[in-house]
Amino acid sequence: MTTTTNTTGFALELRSVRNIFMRDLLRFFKDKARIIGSVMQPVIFLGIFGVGLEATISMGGGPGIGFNFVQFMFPGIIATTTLGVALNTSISIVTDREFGFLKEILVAPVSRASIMFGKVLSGIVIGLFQAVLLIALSPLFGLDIVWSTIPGILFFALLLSFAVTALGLFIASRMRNAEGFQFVFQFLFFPMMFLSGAFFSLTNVPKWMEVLSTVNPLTYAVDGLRRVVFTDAPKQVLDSILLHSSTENMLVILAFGLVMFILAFWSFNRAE
Amino acid sequence: MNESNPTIIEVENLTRSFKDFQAVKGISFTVREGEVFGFLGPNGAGKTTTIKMFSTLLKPTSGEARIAGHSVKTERIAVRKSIGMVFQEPTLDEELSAYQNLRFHAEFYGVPSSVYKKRAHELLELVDLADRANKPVRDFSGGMKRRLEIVRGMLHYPKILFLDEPTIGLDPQTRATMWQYILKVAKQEKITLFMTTHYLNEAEYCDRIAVIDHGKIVAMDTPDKLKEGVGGDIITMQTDNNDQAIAYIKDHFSQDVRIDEKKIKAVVKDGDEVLPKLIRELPQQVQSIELKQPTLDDVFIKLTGSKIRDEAPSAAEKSKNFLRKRGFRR
Repeated sequence: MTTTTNTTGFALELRSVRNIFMRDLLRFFKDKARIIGSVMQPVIFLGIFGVGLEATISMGGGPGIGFNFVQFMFPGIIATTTLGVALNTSISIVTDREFGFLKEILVAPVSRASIMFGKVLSGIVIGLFQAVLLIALSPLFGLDIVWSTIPGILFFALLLSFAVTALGLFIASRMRNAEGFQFVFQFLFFPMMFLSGAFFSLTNVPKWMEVLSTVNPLTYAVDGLRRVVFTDAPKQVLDSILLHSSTENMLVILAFGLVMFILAFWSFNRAE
Repeated sequence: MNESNPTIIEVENLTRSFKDFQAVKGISFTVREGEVFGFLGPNGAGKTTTIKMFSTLLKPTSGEARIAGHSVKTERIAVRKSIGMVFQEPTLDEELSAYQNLRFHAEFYGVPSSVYKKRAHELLELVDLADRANKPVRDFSGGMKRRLEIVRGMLHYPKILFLDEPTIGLDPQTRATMWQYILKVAKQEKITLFMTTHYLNEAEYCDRIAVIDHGKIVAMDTPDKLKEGVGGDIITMQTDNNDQAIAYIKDHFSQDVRIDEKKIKAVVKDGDEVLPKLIRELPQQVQSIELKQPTLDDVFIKLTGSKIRDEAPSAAEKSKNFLRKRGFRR
């Protein structure tokens, strides 16, 4: 007989947060295709689309737009990539449900909150990993990231990862089968991406688009990141591409994340 | 099993409805510590629904169940702490290795790492999976997955282990070994076993059996007592005219007679005396005849009027297969 006793109470809850987190990390780094895929998308957007569009914009030697288009797109790409990976991390709960593994998690003697915190933690860490990867790749696209802006970029990536993971948790709590994935990507991921100002400025768009982008949480992340990246641009450039203050951006993303987390918690706690 | 052992499962008038369908209709019973208790019933009888309520995955519509003294309604985490589950459908993470699946489980139950490392390897050894400990579960055969799930359910030495059709999909030989092993660990660690099964020979491992049909318990006793309740021995026979033979048997030998798989099955008292008499007196020609003690099969048919059949794949299983076919990967 052994004298060591089992972990209980709060210590067990913390251990479970780590347990969920470790599993997600293990799975993420095992899935080489997913990591390569999540790098390929930004490389295509920035390296091909961005560079190509930059060349088109500066055709004819006109006055141009006053800033580097690839640099303009970079924050948008960080935001959309983070959106993708964080959403994937939490929505994986649906595949766990489909493959039965969720039951193993749901009968474990830990609160739903710990499971959700574990998911949020892995969403954030995987999201940050992607952001770091993109920053490291940025010289490839002719970008010169100022070292002092990196903490600011990571801060917004962290906030966004949290908010998106929480959103994903809420969606996963309502979704019964993985066929809904297609739906989520067609009706959530792409609209959010294109209505966030990631690829064009939202300062001069039609009213309907302005309204839609205002309710899109990704808009605030793109705007927040862009303000960080364009740290020493002239004021009239900033005014022409930015929408909100850093504080506004931060608060909106945080509030969105918290609301989603609470909704997801409520939804998971309703036993069937 | 000691009659004086304390109660560990206490069920009072437990009910569960889905919309207008009542799956479990006010069942009550108790299970004592260390007992091997079986739930036997046909498809849709309410077995899985009951086990889901015990494991807090479903809330009872009314009534109460206390698991190791804790209410499944109000003390859900305490209930989950005292139980282990082996579900009917697979619940492994296929991307992880066998050992990683076990580790994930042990972490959730707060088992110290020094303990589970040792125990996990012992358990894998016992079910012949030690050499595959670090291989992804994805590449395991159905039987190997099943064995892994069963040892996972016991890894934290729960007070009660719930097994919902635990040996489904295993070949008879593996099934027998599996049971030897489950019973051994259960005895050693004083784990109470609560299982559902439709393999009637498996139900014989139970100290007591509750037969459940249409959401109600129709009988509950030891396997031997239940068999006695059938009311005699079973004669299985074939004649040149089964319909006429049945009519004759009804008039002269036993009311309890029917056709099963094109053979006559009659329940008679003192079978060894009836058998020669039957061959002598029956006007029809007897082509084959067999006398045996009643099995749980017979108990079951007597109580529910139907035979137990193999379960059809569940909806979840079907869509999973569908996803696999499309090459879907998590």
